[in-house]
Parts: sequence; C-alpha cells; structure tokens
Amino acid sequence: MADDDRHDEGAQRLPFDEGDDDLFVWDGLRPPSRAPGPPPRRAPEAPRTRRVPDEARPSGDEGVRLRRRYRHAAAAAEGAAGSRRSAPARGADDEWQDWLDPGEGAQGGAPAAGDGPGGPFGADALGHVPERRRPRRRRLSAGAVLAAMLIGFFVAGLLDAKSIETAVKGKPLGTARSVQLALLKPMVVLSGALQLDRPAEALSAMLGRGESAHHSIAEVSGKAKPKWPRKITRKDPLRLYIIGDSMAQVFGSSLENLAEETHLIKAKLDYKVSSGLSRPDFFDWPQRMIDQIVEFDPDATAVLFGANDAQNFLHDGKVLKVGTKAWQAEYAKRVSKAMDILTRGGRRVYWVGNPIMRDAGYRDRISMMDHIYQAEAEKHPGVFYIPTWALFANEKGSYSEYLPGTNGDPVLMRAPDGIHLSRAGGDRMAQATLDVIEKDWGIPQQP
Amino acid sequence: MLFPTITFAVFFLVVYAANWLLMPRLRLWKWFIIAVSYVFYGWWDWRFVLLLVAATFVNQALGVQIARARRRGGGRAAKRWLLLSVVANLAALGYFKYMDFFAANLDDLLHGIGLGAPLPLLRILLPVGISFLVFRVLTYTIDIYRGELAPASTLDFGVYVAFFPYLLAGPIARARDFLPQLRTPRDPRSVDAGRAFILILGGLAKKMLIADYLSTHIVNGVFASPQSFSAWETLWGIAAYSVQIYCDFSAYSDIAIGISLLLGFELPENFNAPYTARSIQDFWRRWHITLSSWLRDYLYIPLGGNRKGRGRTYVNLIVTFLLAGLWHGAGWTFVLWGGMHGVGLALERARADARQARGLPEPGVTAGARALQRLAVFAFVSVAWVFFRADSIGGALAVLWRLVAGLGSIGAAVTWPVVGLVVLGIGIQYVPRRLIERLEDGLAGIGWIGQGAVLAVALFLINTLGPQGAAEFLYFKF
Repeated sequence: MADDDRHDEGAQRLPFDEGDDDLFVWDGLRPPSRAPGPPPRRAPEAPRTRRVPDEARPSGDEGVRLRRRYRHAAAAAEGAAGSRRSAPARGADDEWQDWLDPGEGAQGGAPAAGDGPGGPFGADALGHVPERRRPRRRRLSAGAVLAAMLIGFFVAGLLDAKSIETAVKGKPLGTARSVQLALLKPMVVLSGALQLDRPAEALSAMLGRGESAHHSIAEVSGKAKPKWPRKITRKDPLRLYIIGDSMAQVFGSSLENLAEETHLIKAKLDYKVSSGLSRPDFFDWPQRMIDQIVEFDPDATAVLFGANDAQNFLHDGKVLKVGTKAWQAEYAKRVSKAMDILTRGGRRVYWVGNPIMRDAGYRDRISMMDHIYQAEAEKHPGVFYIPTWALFANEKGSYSEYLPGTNGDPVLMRAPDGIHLSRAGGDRMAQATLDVIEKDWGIPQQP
Repeated sequence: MLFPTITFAVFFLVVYAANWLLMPRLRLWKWFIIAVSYVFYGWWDWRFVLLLVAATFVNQALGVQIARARRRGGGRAAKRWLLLSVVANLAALGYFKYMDFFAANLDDLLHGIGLGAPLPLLRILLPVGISFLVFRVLTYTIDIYRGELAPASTLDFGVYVAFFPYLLAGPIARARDFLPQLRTPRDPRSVDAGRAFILILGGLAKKMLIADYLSTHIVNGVFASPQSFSAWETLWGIAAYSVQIYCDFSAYSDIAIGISLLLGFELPENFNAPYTARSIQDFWRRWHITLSSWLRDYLYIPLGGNRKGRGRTYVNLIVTFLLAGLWHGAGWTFVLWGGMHGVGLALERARADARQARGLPEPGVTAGARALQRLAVFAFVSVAWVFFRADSIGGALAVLWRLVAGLGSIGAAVTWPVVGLVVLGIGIQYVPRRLIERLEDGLAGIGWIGQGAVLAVALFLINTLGPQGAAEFLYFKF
C-alpha cells in the first residue's frame, strides 16, 4: 500500500492547490472541537443505535438512575460535566433525551443532549440507552462477500431465468433487447437442464398466477338483445368498461369519478402500464377484452391506447418499422379487430384520441396513430372517435403544459414527462368523453 | 437507476469489485467513487451532474472561507460567509423546486385581484434528490461555522456530496460523521455482510412485496377515484398507504445503508419502528430520523428551540414542521401535512406543560394505555398522510369524506392479501430489535457459501412473488 495514500490530508496537492489563500484548501488550525472517533470498523457497538423494547427497558426509579448515570458519563467524556442541567422532575418518558427538549449547551452550538460523540448513530443518540456489550458479529472479507453475491445472483438468475426472459422479450425491439436475450439464452437452457425452473412454476401455480381459463370470442355476443339503445336508470345503470395504457390511469380514474357522480353509470377501470396494441407478446389486450367483456358484461367501453404503440413489432416473422405503410396497415388491422370485439352484442365504443405531445418526433407518431383510430372508427358502426388533440393545445396550436382553466387562470394539465396528464388534464379529457357518452345514451347532462 | 433492477445489480457488482480493488490507493479510490456516483446520478439526466459539481465547489469554497474567518477571530465575517452559503443553497433549492409553485400561486393571486398578464410558467427540470443534497451540504458549512468540523479536502467533500448510495433519497448523513470515514481506507477483511444482506433483502421485500402490491391493489384506486370505493375500502386504503409509504421509504434507506456497508461505510439509521410510537414526538424520533435530527439542530434550535418560553416553543415547533412539509414538496398539501404535525406536537407539549404546571404525575402506562396511545398516533399520522398523498386539498378531503359518505356496501377491494400485508407491514415493526440482530448474526455466521444460497433463494422469492417491472420509489420526487 502506498503510504502517501493512507492519509490524504495535505498529501499530494490537486492541480489548483496554490497556497494558504487558496479558495478550496483549508490548512489552518483545527478548531478544538470533539475529534472524530476511531474508524467505525473498530467500534462495532457504537455506530448503531439499539432500541430496547419497552418490556426490557428498566422503568421507574431504576431507569431514571441508569439514564442519569449514563448521561453524566457521556457529559464527562465530553469534558462538559457541569453543563448539562439535571433532569427535571418529570415522568420517565419525558426524561428521555427527547429531541425537542435538548438541554443546556445546545444553543451555543455544542451538540444537543442526546447527540454525543457518535453523532446520529452514537450510543446516546435520540434517547436510546446503550445495551450490554454484545459479542462482535462475524465479518467476511471483501472477496468472500463478492463470491457470495456472485453465487446469489447466478443461482437466482437460474431460478428466475424464464420470467426474466419473458420480461426482456416484452421490451421494445432493438439491439439492447437482442443482446440481453442472447445473454439470457444459455441461462434459460441451463436452468431447464438442471430443473431449476420448476420452483418458479410451482410457486406461480400455487399463487394462482398460471394461465387462467380464457374465454372465447363466441361467448361474447351471447345476449339476444343488443345493448344499445336502452333506458338508463339508477336501478339499471350504464355499465362502462374503461381500458388503456398508463395514460388511462389518470384519465380513467377521472372518468370513473365523473361517471360515478352521475349515479347512472357504473364504471370499471382496467389499465396496464407500458401496454398497447403493438406488442401482444407483452400483454394480450384482445384476449383481455374478451375475458373482461364476458365477466363484467359492459354496455360500453372507453379506450385510450397509443402512447406505447409507436414502436416496431414482429409480424409474420418480419420486423415492421413504425410509420411505414406495412406497419400502418397491420396496426389498423389490430385496431379494427379490437373494435370488432368491443362492439359485439350491440355494445358501444368510445375510442379516445391522444392529446398533443411535447416531443416533436413522438408527436408526429402519435398523430399518425390518432388518424388511424379516426379512420377505423368511421368504418365501424357503434364506435365514436373522440379527438382530444386540440383540447390540450394552446391558442397557437402547440403543446403547452399550462392551459387556461375555467376562469382563465393557467392550470397545469400535463405531467413533467410531456406525455401523461395531470389530474386536471385527466378531468378535462374525461369530461369530453362523458359528454359524448351521455349524448349517446340519452343521459341528461349534469350541470 | 432504480435500486431493484438488474441494471443496478450489474452496476453494483462492478462497482463493488472495483471499490475494494482500488481501496488501498485511497486517492484514486476517491476519484473512482466520484466518477461512479456521477454516472449513477447522470443516468437520470446528464445535466444533474453539473449540479453536483457546482454544489461541491461552491460549498467547499464557502466552507474554507468560514473556517478562515473563524481562525482570524472574525466572528462577524464568518457569519456573513455562512449566511451566503445558506442563502445560496436555499436559493438553488428554491429555484429548482419551488419556482413553479411560487409562480403559479403568485399568478392566481394576481388574477384574484384583477391583474391580468399570466407569468411565464416554465417547467423547470427537477433534479432528483435535490432536497437531500442541499440539506447535506448545509451540514458541512454550518458545522464548520459552529466549530464542530474542519474543512476537508475538496476531493473528500466531493465524495461526500456525491456518494451514490444516499444520493437520491437519503439518509441525510452529516459531514462530520461521514468525512472521518474517508481519512483511511476501509478494512477489506471486515465487511459487515450479515447486516448488509439482511438490510438489502429486507428492503427489497418491503418494497416489492408489500409497498408495490398495496399501491396497485388499493391505494392508487382509493386516492384516484374515491367515489368508486366504500367507507370500509377507504379506511383500509388509508391504512394501506401508511404501510406503503413506510415500506417504500424505509426500504430505500435500508438498501442504501446496506450497500454502503458492503462498500465499507457506515450511514446513520433512518427508521426505527415508527408505527410503534406512543406520541407524535416519539414518532419523529423514529420516522426519517436523519431529517428530524437535521431540523432539530439546524432549524428548531437556531429559532430558539424551547429556550424562549412556552408560547415561542409552540411557534418554533409549528414553523419547523411547516417548513418540513414544504421540504417534501412544492404544494399546499405538503405544507398542510407539516402544519398538522407541528400543531399536534405543540398540543402535546402544551398538555405536558399544563400537567407539569399543575404538578400532576405522569399518567399510568398500563398495557392498555400503551396500545391506545399507539393506535391514536397511528390514526393521526394516517390522516396526515392522506394530505401528503392526495393531489390537492380537495382530493384529500374527498377521500376522508368517503369514510362517512361511503357507509353501506363493503366493496371488493379489501381482500385477504391486502389485509394481510397491512397487518404485516405494521407487525414487522413490533419485532424486537434483538431478534433482528440475531438474524443478522446468524446470517453472518454461515459463511459466504451459505450467504450466497440465502441471497439466491431470497432474490428468487422476491422476484417471483413481486410485481412485474420495478415501480419507482415514492421519495424520488424529492
């Protein structure tokens, strides 16, 4: 070990160290404050505070005596034996070095009572009584710890290989994903060979997370009478199913709130962060729609997708690049399929368009998808496209985080990422959607 | 970079190995740890690194000036430098964090009195963890002023400013406790792995198995659309949020302390079973300990503490906690949250003072009384958390009103897993410290192969039982 590196103070000077008047270097006298203690590694008892559970804490007089004795010992160590005032005649709890009643000497800049040489983790910090000496815990060498971590990560990796691979597969297509999958492949193979994937399967099955029974499309249209139109009453409210990606978290909950306030709509929100129609391998929305329609039996669905769909995807073994004609054609097909599922049985669909986005390139891709939604909505009876682009643009037609509210004051409408909505933004989008729903079903508009 | 991700695991393995290989060359090690910390912080946004650099040089220069002024006997000069340091740091915090809040409120005010012209409301990029950073560097300059610390070398201070384990969300380690650990190389033969692994695994479990589940399965819903939930569900939602924020935040602190231990450094404890507190005062000795002790030493005591009479004490308490609320976030909900705690503390103090003045003895501490006190504190703290979590004061009141207006149906959100996790989240705090220490000792005793096996099984369980994808730690907004 190089000796000059052991004690850094005043050792080799940095390039801009000039002399006594240097801006950054202090080489003056050390003020006669408490010197820092020995390196913590030699005092394993001191660095941690110990909490003594109530039951073990000596109470009453004995406790008071113990604490007084301890406090005086600490004060003596400080060299300030007389400066602490004696404990006031109060109950046991109040005598604890309660941090809101620090005692003499605190105002002068000396450490508050209860914050002795060890600082916040000193033995007397914040009212903790030091415990009896404990045998020192066994320590390891750094190399042994590294070995332990490598074993831990490697074996955990083998046990979890499949689920990690599934998670990586769901990421956007690209070199990072391909590289990670390539690195994972041997782990998955090894895991299978050593039967180490069994515990994960068993655990998932136990938790009921396995492939639950899915419904089929045939079950969806079952009812003879179409859902729309019908009279909506309090006893027989409109059943509204709300789906989407992370944008739908705020929008959907705003819509739920507004809907429930009418007392004529029963709403159910079902969103999945990072999902969309582009990557059914990450989350299969068409299947989810079928399952939820069979189980929840909605009259209508509000939909908000797109934020995560501006990515390449695999189709028929080929990678379709976002924005190309082939990509647009395939994406339109997926939108159409979703609309088919959701309108079965005479159900209505309110497909909400995305608002204007901050980032220019992203904005163009989102706009492209909004156009696809609008075109497909026109081809499907029972589907309404609700444009929200202009709702979130300022008077110049460009992106703005703040927009005038009801009384003209600027209100924050978007999240810091320039994509998601604030609560006020969600309310605005939800109100626009609710207006269309109410008109469609003949529900009187609320004041 | 988030802690519970594979990216961080790989990052940490590399950093860990390099940390101990470079440790004998202490100076080189310091440059290394600064570089690594800058990479970690810059992962979010490379511009944040500029903030660290600026914080290092500005505060080091000011610290040296303060020390020099003290040496020359100029108390007033030293005070002026200190004031400059405090103002500069708080101004930086104010700009990044509160500019929009201030501007929006000023704008509302102007509109209210009829002055048109909206102010330019830019969205200023908020560096993660800036509140923690500012409080950290203030301990340096203020302690130098108080004579409790001598300025360290710029390199050492640079490490203190940027040390990545506590960079994003604490604990708020004080300069006078951390800098001495940089004087000599850490001992590679003596890594406290038993404790470190328990802290890290416990933290991951709390975050991924308890906090994330509760947040997605009940808390988010109850707070986002309170109208859709019954009183019973709202009650459990509020309790679940109390558990969620504890598990989330203490998990981050535990993991930070654990990885620091693996690197050879001791960080202060930050949580100590807060929901076992029997008074609000006690709560603040157990919750975010480094923050409350910071506030005590650098705000409450300079304001006068309890030295200026009873009335002033109450005022000091309330002011300190209003500012604590504001520190957490630029919003009236946070200020109200802080105010509630401040008023609660003042009332407790007033009650104790009144009791003392009348010469009455302390009330009894039977088991029943203790349980009631704990319940009362938990209830108070949970109600305050509603304001902390809600989007707006109206939103918070809507949630609380639901406890009354939603009576009737039971609702389906309160499932057995939700109940179980809420009970677990509170129950783990009642586990005696000695038991946890025995666990740490036990893990330490089984050697590296055994620890590797335990790590493997624990990581596997946490990953399989936990949610897909890592959700953000709540306190990252600060």
